[in-house]
Amino acid sequence: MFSERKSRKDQQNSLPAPRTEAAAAPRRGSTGYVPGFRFRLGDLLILVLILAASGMLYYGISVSAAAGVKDTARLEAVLTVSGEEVWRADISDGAAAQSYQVTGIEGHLTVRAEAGRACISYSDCPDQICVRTGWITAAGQSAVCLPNRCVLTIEAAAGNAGTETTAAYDIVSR
Amino acid sequence: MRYSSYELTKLSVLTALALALSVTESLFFPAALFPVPGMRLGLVNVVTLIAVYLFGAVPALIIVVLRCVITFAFSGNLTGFLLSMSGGILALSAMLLLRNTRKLSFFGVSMGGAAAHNVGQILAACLITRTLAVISYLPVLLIVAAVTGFAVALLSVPVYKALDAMRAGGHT
Repeated sequence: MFSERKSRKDQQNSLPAPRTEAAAAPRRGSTGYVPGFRFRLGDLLILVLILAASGMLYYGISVSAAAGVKDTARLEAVLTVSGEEVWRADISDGAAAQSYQVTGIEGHLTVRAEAGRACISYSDCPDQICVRTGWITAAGQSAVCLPNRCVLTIEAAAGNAGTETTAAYDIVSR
Repeated sequence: MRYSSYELTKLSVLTALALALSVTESLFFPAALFPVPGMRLGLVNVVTLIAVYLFGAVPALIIVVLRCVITFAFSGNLTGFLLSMSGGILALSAMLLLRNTRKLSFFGVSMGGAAAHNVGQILAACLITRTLAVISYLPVLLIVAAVTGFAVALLSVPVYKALDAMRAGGHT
């Protein structure tokens, strides 16, 4: 039956047969998948997985940061450059305002610490994300300057820690 | 592995498109509305997603590496290069893995790729600063990744269909 139809078509028009069938076959490296607005169960799974990971991380970070703080009034701001601590300031209530300047890879970087908060006030880096972070107030918060490799965090003051001392974050072990 | 000049041209055009998209998305946040480093729309992943589905693993890898290197050559921002490289490679690996499970549509693969992109960036940031403090940005970034992954897939659907129609017309 099919051969009859083909021969009749060839007789009727001289155009070549359409190439769509052969050319639509999956080519090298592709899966032959045509996307549309059809969702699958895996999509929902991925979404739930991402949200769950986000929630667990948030919980883990806030717990590990708060675990070291017994007395919430005694906090310190710590500045680390490439992992080494270079400056530590007391930011508990009534502490005097201090500032400190380091020279990183990109240039100068100035941090300020007052009672209850700290911030990166000036930086020579091109994107200025660190300065735009503004004031950080709670244990576990941080202001990061990646080009200068500087991280300003707030943690519990030494002698005030629970089980952890100066190790900033140890999410894996308690 | 030998590519015809037509395939090479298509890869080059996709790479140029990725570069144009990365410049465009940096214009969307001129004042960096959110202080989180690396918070982007991830429009580059449109090209990565399409390359993963239409061309396969190796061409997509070439595109990702090329766009990171060329962006670094033009901007001179070493930290940006390290972040985008690690983010792009992880996103590509995640997209390939998720695509091969065949249980996810375009949107799931894109969301997983966006999440892996942000994880890769945070990982690189942790290695650069040698502290774990940067991980505190990850929860917010992951939620943003789920949303932007969905948006990227929405953008990719018509582009994919157009390229597929080109293929069906015999141009591949």
